[in-house]
Order: sequence, then C-alpha cells, then structure tokens
Amino acid sequence: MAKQKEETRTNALNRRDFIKLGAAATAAGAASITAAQSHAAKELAEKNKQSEIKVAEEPFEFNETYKPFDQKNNIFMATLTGRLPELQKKMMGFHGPGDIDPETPGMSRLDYALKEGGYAGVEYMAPGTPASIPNTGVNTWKQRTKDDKHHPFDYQYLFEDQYRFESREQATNAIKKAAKLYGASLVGVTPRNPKFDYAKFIDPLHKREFGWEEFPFEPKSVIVMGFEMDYEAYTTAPTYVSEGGTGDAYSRITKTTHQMAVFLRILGYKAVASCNDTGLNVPYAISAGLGEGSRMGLLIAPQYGPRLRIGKVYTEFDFCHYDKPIEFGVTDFCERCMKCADACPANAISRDKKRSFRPTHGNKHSFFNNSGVKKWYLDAEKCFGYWMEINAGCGACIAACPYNKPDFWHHRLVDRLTAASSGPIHDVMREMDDIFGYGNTHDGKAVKEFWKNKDAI
Amino acid sequence: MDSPSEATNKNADKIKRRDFFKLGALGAALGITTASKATENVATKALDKATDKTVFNALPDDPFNLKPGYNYRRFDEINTFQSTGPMRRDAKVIPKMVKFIWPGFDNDQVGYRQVDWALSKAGQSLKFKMKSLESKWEQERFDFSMLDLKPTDMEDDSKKKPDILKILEGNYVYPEKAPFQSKQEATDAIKRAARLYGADLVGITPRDERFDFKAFFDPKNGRRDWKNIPFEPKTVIVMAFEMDYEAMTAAPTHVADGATGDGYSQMHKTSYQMAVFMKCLGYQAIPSNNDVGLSIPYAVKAGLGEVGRHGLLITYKYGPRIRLAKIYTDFDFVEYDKPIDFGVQEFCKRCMRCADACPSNAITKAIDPTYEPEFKDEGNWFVNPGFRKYYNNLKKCFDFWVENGNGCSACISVCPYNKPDFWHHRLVDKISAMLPGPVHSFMREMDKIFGYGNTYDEGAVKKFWSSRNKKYLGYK
Repeated sequence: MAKQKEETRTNALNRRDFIKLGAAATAAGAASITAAQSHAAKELAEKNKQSEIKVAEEPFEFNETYKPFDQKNNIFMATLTGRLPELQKKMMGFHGPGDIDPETPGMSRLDYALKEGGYAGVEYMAPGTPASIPNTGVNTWKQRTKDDKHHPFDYQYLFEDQYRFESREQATNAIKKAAKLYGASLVGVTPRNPKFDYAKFIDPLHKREFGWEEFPFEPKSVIVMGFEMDYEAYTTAPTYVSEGGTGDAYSRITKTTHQMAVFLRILGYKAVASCNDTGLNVPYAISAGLGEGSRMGLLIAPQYGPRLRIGKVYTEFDFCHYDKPIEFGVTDFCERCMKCADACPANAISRDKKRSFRPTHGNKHSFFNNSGVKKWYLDAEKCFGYWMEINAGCGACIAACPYNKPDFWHHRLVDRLTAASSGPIHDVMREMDDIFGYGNTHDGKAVKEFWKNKDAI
Repeated sequence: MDSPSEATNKNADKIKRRDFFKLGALGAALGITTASKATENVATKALDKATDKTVFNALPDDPFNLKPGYNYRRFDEINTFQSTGPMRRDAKVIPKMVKFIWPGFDNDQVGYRQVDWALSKAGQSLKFKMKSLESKWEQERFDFSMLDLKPTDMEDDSKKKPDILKILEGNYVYPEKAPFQSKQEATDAIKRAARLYGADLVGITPRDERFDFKAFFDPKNGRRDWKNIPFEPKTVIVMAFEMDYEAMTAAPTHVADGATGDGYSQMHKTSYQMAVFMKCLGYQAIPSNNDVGLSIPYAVKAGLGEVGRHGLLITYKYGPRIRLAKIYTDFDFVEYDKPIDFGVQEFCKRCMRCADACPSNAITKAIDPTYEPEFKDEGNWFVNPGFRKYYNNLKKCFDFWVENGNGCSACISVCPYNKPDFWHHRLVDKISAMLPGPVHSFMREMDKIFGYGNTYDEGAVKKFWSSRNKKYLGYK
C-alpha cells in the first residue's frame, strides 16, 4: 500500500509538471525585487496545487495491537506521578528561576523573562493543559447554562436554542472564519475518532484516574487549529528565547480555543476547549488535513513545517463538511533526511530508515509510546531528560527541520519539487539546506538577531 | 514650543517641488508594476523610506494643548462608561444597561443573527474571564488561587494552591534586577517581547499623572485609590492591536463587534504577558487595559498616533482600527518615544465622515477643537475638560449601543484613515499629510466614491462570512 503511494508520487513528476515548475521559477527569478517573492509563491502554489498536495484517504496504518492512549502514560504525567523518579526530582526544579546563565546566549535573565511571559497566558487561563491535564481553567468540561451566569455580562453559557445553518459548507466556513478572527493560523474540521482520544484521564496532583463518563457529552466533531510560532525566536533553539515562542503559542491556543468553545456554546452546541489534553493533537491534525506526521513525531504543515502548535475544540456539532487528510511527500523525505535526529541533543529521535509499528529505541520503558500505528517512535524519556538538563523545552528538531522556513517563494518552490520528486533527490536537498545555513541549533548569533527588534514597531 | 496646529501648518509649508517630484516619481514607478499584494508591499516600504522625513513631524514631548489657566483635574474612573459608574450616577442608565446585556439577535437580519452575535460574544470572552478579577492592580492579581474561575469552573480543590502548579508560576517580582547595557537595548527588548506576544505597535513613555485616573471604581470592591497600587509607576508601555479589517467593514453589526471583542481578548493576553515579563526582569508591573489611566493620551505621548475627531487614536498604519493596552512599571532605564504628527488634526477639521456616519449624532461637527464640550447635557460627568480636542457626547453614543444590542464602531469603519494596507492608500495618506485644507475635502469625497466606509452594509457581513479568497489550510 505504501509502495503503491510512492509510485503514484513518482509518476506525478511528469514532464508537464517540471515545465510548469520551471516556467514559474523563471518568471519569478526575473523579478529581482524581494517582495515579488510572495507573489511568485502564490502563483506557484496556484499552478501546482493539484499536482503536489494530494488527498490521503488512509493516512494511518494501524495493526491489531493499537489501543487508545492512556493519559497517565504521558511523559509529564509519568514524571509527576513518580513513575520516573529521577526525572521527577529534576522536574521539581524545572520552570523555576533555574540555572539562569548570563554567559550563554539565550539563557540569560532577559531570555528567561521572555519565556515566562510567553507561558503566562496559558498558565493563568488554563494551567497544566500543555502537560496534558484536562478540565482546568477555561478548558473546563462544565457546560454552564443560563442559570449559572457568573455576572450580568456573562454570556458564556450554553444556549437552549440551536442555531441552524443552511448548509454544511456554510457551517464549516463560519467555524473556520471565526477561528481565523480569533487568531488560528490553520483550521480543519474532522469527525471525532475515539482512537485518538485518551482512553482514561488522570489528575496528577491527586493521582485520581477517571474516564469519559465524566465528559459532559458525546463529541461528534473536533475542530483542529494550527498556530504558527515565531520564526526568529525558533532559530535560537534550544534556548529560553525559543521557549518564549512556544509559550506564546500555548497562550494563543488557550485564548483562541476558549473563544471557539464559547462561540459554539452560544450557537447552542456543547463544546470543550482542549490544548494537549483530552486527545492526541498530531493524529487529529493529520485527520483534519493540516499536514503529515514526521520522523520527529511532530506535525509538518505545508506552510510552516513543524513550526506550529496545535489546539482543538471537541463539540457535539456535526452538521459540517469534514476536511480530508493530505500528503505532500513528508514520509519519503523523512526517510532520508535525519536532520532532526542529527540535531537532537538527547539522541531521542529514531534513525530507522523506515517507520515501524513498535518503538525501536531500546529504552526499557516504552509506556510513553502509543504503539500499533506505523510511525517513527521517540524516546520521550531522553527527550524530556534533556529539557530538565537545560531547564527549558528544547525545540532543536523544529529549528533543524528543512520544512521550517520563512515563507519566501524559493522555499515554496523547493518544497514543491521535494513533494514531486522522490528518494535520492531528497539527500541532495538535505545537504543544500545545511549549506545554506538553515537549521542551526545552539546558535548564539540567532539570539542576538532576535533581540535586535529589526522591523521596529 | 509649537502647538500641534502650528506644527501641522509647518507641514503644509513643507510641500516643496522636490517632495512632489519624489512622490510623483514613486507613483509612476509603482504604477507600471502590476498591482499584486507583493509589489504593494515593496511599494509601501519604498514610499515609507522616501517620505519618512517629509511626512512625520516630531512633536514636543508634551503635545497637549491645555486651556491657559485652566484648573485641570484628573479624570475619575467612576465616570467612564467602562465601569458601572453610570449606573450609580444616573438611574436612567440601569434599564438601558439591562437591555444592553440581554442577548439581542434576530436571525432574519444579516449581521444580527445568532451566528453574528456568537462571534462577538466569544470574541470578548477572555476579556470578561480576565476582567472579572476586579482586584485589578495588586501584584498577586493573577495568583493561581485567585483565578476567580469560580467553583463552577474549577474543581473545588483548585482553591488551594497546589505545590506542583506553584512551580509553573513565573508571575512574581524577581528579587534581582536584570542588567541592561544601554537604554536602547532595554527598549528593543521590551518592544520585541511585546511583538512576540502579539502587539502590532509599541511605544514607551514616562508616566504622566494627568492621565492616570484620580481614583478608581471597581464594582466588586467599590472605591479604590492610588494607595491600593503597590508601587510608584515611572514608565508606561503602550501597545496597539490591529482589529480585523473585514469584520470592521460590517459595522455596526455584531460581526464588527467580534473584531472589537477579539481586540480586547488580545489586549488582556498580551498586557498580562508583558507584566509577567517585566516582573521576571525584576521590576514591578501592572497590566492595564481601559483601567488605571487614559489610554489615548498615553498612546499619543508614546508616539503611536494622533487623536481624531471621533476621539479615538489614529495610527499611521491602521488608522483608528486598533485597540490599546498598557503596562505600568517602575522600570525607567529606557529610551522614551516622541509624539508624532502626520496631519490628522488638519484632516479631521474638514472630513466629518465619522460625524456624518454616527447613528446617534454623538460626534461633534465643530470645525475646530475646543477646550470644553459644546453640548449641554444634563450632567456632563463623562467628559474630561481642559484639553483642546473634540468633545463627543458619550451618552448619546451609549444610547445607540443599547438600541443596537452591541457596540457600534461606525466611526472606525468610515474613517478615511481606516484602510487595508495597500501602497496606494499609503500614498494618499502621505499626500494628505502634506497638503493643506481644501484638498482634504476632495479626498474625503474620493474616499466615498471608491466605496470605502459604508456602514449598515449587508454585503460586508456576507463578505466576512464568505469562503472566497480565505486561506484556512496552509497550502491553498
């Protein structure tokens, strides 16, 4: 089945496509001014939309061992609840003032302040949701009605009468437009899939486990939203500066998903905002057509690469038009690239050429992996261990990934060519990426560039 | 010291042949390129570079024109429509307020349907979430145990501060202060952080007590004063947040109010993040939105723009289509910004589009700004007299909100400075800034002819919700 897909993609690279790409490149190259670039990118996208980005009918390959993931096996939860005692000890020092080191670029007090400011929104509005804790703050599961108004100006309750849209298209469109207004970079709508929901939940503070019976309704749809993270901040990974980009994305996720949940409740449909809690974001985002899975385990979107974070809203609304998964050659590319695996300071990313149904990292623990689906498996214990070491989230794999680029036309061209070609060409492209100086990690200069405030506002 | 109007007149004198030539050459050069969004960006940048010195005048640090000898008194928060002050001051407001807050939608009327209304209320949902913490300015305002997501929102045990969540907190003043090598470095850092957290414009200005509320009013705790503020602020960081152009074209419907509401939610998110940022640097800070002080004069001082006839800030880049938030801090090792002038005062004298469009006739049609309101309403408690400006009747303004079942924003939508950011609009703005009086009347008419600034426009609502030319997936 996978083989067959590969063939289709190779065939897709026919003469006509090459000529089209070539013509677009020439046309774009002739215009020497920088800003003509985004115009060229648009034109290119228009010309090649059909040939490079395809609908993927079956983006997942499961085997019989697949089970929905239990939240208690999440690396944060396992650490907090003492199943990985060494990590737990380190974690208690994490997120505090930590080892602020004025000598290391990106790890000074200024950089640390940027990180804390970034997370401040999410930690105030819905604390713990990035670490997978459900039902806190504005991500509450409670569906308040008019009788529980907090104050006279409180409209955030579930309305009794349900708004009727004229068509499914109109409904999907309205949902997407609202998500855009509230700050989402990408939006897709997909049916709820219990395979991707947590099997059971845990409150790590009290070690209380509970199940879906506490969820207030039967979700039918999931609105999945992607949030771009600051490119410049991410060139500094792994530092407090790139963590600032991460934290702000979480704060935006909390803001926007909460606004979307309120939007749906006012339309009369039950809804729950969700960050990394309640269900798995990456497979939901794949189902909703936002991008493909990758070697590092993160979603890769055509526009931002892996430089995005994901939020979602569970709702009982289902009179909508669902999006289709897409593919644009990421799996093939990842088979040969390995830049993330090379850049990973913790050696946590798999170097297997092909994907597998089970973890191959050899760690005696693998409860934190969700096996039974074909993918590359990450050693989350090593990954998280490194976070504890540097007292910040890492993000080196995101910064190193060749799909993470600012949105200039020639990058789009390269991405399109990558999608249209296969195998050995990808090796060349990976090398070119290195030569052009993209994807450095531990890059002190990047930190200085970030703080310069060049496009002064 | 130049008064603002003198400075503007100097502007007019400045139109020299050389300048016209420069603009003309630019226009011609830009004209031959096809009008794509991309070339527009180049054009905008080139235009900005070529005319920067010609158009923008630096104003004195204090650009305000106070009536000579006038005993100016600081404004009291109880007199804002934002507080529930009016309900206490004026019993007639109570039934209006009740009517205003009751969900008002009509599914047969485009722009007022439930979906439009939901857009508006969900847009501002974070405003009320965060604003419901009415102990606004204590350092530990956002303390986890004070989340005020009431027991209905949080499990009961969340009232206690759990130890593990405590380590997640960064919201406290660091005992040591972050070292900065220079004031410029500090300024760049503050502005870059604000931009990362979502601000579109940032300026920094010294605190100016004239524009701080004399006293505060808080529905939960009643009267409060500066003794409740835990430190002596020295600096105010002012941030502007662009509101969605397309939604604003649908004013005064619920759709436009969706943009307003989301603007408020952004303000709350970013100002709170900035306050935490300052605290982590070792300085005290208070996030402030419409509270603590008057945002518009502070924004003028911080160089974000000028005040228009409608009383709102007009920025060069977004016109009045912005909202403002600020941070009070005791940090003062920064480069302060200067107020700017790009001809708004002169333009507003002749334009009157906001006054014409105002559904409640609340905006004055006086040609020149005055020191006091011209209208004599029963109890003008809501005005802040003394400064030379246009005085508008907020009671009438609010009456229309009540009738409309939501905020209005017609004045923002019609303002000729409210345009999407295409190069030819910038060119027009530049020319407006340099030209004197009568030409502005002509420009105002051109604006209408090109179809900008309609209100009550059903087409605008439909266009907002339409899927044409919208990108929801990255590759489309």
